[in-house]
Amino acid sequence: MLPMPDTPERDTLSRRAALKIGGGALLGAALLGCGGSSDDRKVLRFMTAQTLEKHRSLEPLIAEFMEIHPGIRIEHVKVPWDQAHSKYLTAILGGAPPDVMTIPSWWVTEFRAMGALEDLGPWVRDWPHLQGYTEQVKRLTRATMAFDGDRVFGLPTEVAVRSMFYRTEWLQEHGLEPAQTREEWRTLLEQITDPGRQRYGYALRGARGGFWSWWPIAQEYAGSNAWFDDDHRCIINSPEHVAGLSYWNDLYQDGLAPPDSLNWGFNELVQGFWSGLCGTMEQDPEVVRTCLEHGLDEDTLTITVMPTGPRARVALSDGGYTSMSSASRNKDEAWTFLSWLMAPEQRLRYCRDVNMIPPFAENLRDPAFGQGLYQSFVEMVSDPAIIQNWYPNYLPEMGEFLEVRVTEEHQKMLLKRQSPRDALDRLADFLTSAQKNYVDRHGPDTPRPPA
Amino acid sequence: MKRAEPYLLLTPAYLLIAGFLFYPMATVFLLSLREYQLMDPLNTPFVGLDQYAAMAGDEYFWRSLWNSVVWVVVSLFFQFLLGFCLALLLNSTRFWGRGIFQAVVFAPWAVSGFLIAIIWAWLLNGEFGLVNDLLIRTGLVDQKIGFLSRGETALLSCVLANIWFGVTFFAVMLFAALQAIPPSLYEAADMDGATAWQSFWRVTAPMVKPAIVITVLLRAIWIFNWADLIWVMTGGGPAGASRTLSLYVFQKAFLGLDFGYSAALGVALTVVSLVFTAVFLRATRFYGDEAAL
Repeated sequence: MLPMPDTPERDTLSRRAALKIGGGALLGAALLGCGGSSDDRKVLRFMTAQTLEKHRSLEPLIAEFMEIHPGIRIEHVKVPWDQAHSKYLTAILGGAPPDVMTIPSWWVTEFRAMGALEDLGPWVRDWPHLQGYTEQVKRLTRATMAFDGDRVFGLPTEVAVRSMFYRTEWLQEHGLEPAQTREEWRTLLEQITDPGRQRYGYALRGARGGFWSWWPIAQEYAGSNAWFDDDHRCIINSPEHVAGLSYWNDLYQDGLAPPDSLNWGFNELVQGFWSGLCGTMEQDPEVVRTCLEHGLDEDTLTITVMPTGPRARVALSDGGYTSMSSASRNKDEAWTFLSWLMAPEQRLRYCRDVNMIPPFAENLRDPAFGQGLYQSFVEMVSDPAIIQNWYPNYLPEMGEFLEVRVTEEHQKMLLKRQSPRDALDRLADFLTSAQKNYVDRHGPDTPRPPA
Repeated sequence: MKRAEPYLLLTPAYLLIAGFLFYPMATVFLLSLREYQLMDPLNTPFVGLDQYAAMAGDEYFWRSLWNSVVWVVVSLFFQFLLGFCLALLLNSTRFWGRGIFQAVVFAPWAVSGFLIAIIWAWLLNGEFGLVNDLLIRTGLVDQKIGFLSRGETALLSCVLANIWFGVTFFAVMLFAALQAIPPSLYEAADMDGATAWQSFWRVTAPMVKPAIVITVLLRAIWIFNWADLIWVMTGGGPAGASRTLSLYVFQKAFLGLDFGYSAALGVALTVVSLVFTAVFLRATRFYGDEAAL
């Protein structure tokens, strides 16, 4: 590497030095704590970026693993979800990557492109559980490029798939059934909305993260999960995508969502639902617990599969993987840990604890998932016709796209300062130029999932 | 040796300043001349002033610069006005319970920016907010106002929270300056037959002017750089209506992971601050009439 005034290499050295000092201090403290006994166990750093509950649910599993394998010590590095991406990048680029790490599905292409993930292919060949995943998980692993032919860059940790939440009394009051299609859903929203009584149909997410509210609908209208055509032009502004975004925009403009929802993020949205302001929302299984904690129960909460759009039903699933770092110095031990933690038995225990959907078909037969409020999530992951999402995260501009641009453009649209067509045109232009840059630098073979 | 002595004595301070101020600043400037995407860290070509040129055509940049101007000017104007009034009030000897008020007035300054943002975001919440509730109960409005979700009100809502927070700073600093004015000056003015208004303009104002200039300058720069409040209250939205330049730098760096461009934005932020400081100090004749900057 050429010497540069601010190269990552220089960062690496200083950070390494700092880590050594910090690590030395920690080690010293640990030794003192142990009364001076030496510890010749192999140490694995396990980095997880999750919610507090999930971090907590991992602790007993880790302890149990260390009991079974006295020669391995797991150092659990917990990263708060909000800063996870930059923390991971800093650890990887700074030369101190963890041995094993959990990553959300949409980082896989990015981390793969950086060469940060070990190909688990040689190890999984003898692993008995690979065929045990549900069909949806198999689709997800291919779409996110975690599984790529014989190469495997991470084992599925959990599946979060969206379903539609309804307030049961509102449905009963109007003699309504949960909607099967987007058309029915829109009619349902019109019927349950009554601003005079402080009631709105839809808890819309208009602030950061609102993309995940309208993007699935655009895909339902387009019937495809493609981002680019063969000439590397972004096609998310096709007339079908525009129709999908217009559908979402109309929900807001026609007053079926609260006016303030333009500024709603995740918390406001979930609160808008449980507080009784909104009658429906689309959410992950994790949110079931939040609803139960705030007074809803099996009688007042109905959860069904997502309504189908004109061309498809889309599974917005942002499940995660657990991967091995390519820079790990204890790969065999890392595999021992990884394969144990990702096996069906451990997945079932973990997912039951954190209200996520486990990745294995055999897990879904567990009574905890096949019934009640969780049934629809299992139906969602078992539906063979669903379109699976993926994101072109190999593009460096994708972070800005998802975090800044998208929100800006759809908010302008919600404020009626531009049409859905204009919003998508501008977003497509941004991605087309990003893709062109990438192709100029890396050649025309951009990563994309099998059709 | 004698001549070198002052320099030797100053060297440790200079070294510290160089290491902790000039080195990072120079690093940021050099970074702004490179394309540095955190996601593509091995590919950081030197691009010269290209990123500055890109800034000229970046509508987000100009919009956030304008928002910054509104954010600083409106916040500062009311913070100063109310803060000065409060300081005069606290300075009044006829005021019972002054000690308690002094302590209470200082409270907002001790609260963290994030907490202030959360409190105000709840107060102004468009559905459940206290302010909306009061407005509707008193019959001033008949429909709830989405303070943070409307383009026209989002930035002003943040400004409101900022004013509430910053009044205290001016009150305390100017109160201290007022306390330092010798009572004999007022007595002399009194004997010469000055009215209350005259003694305010001829005695109080000139005596606290240095404190005013410095506090206004400091606050202007702090407000200009302060992004936490807006980030928590509106995230810069809706549609960029409350995105200031400092927030844009943050978004570019930590959400967009484009460190090269955000470094260039950071340099622009510094230049704007420096130009403002120079113009402000000259306009207020801080160094006297004839002194050049």
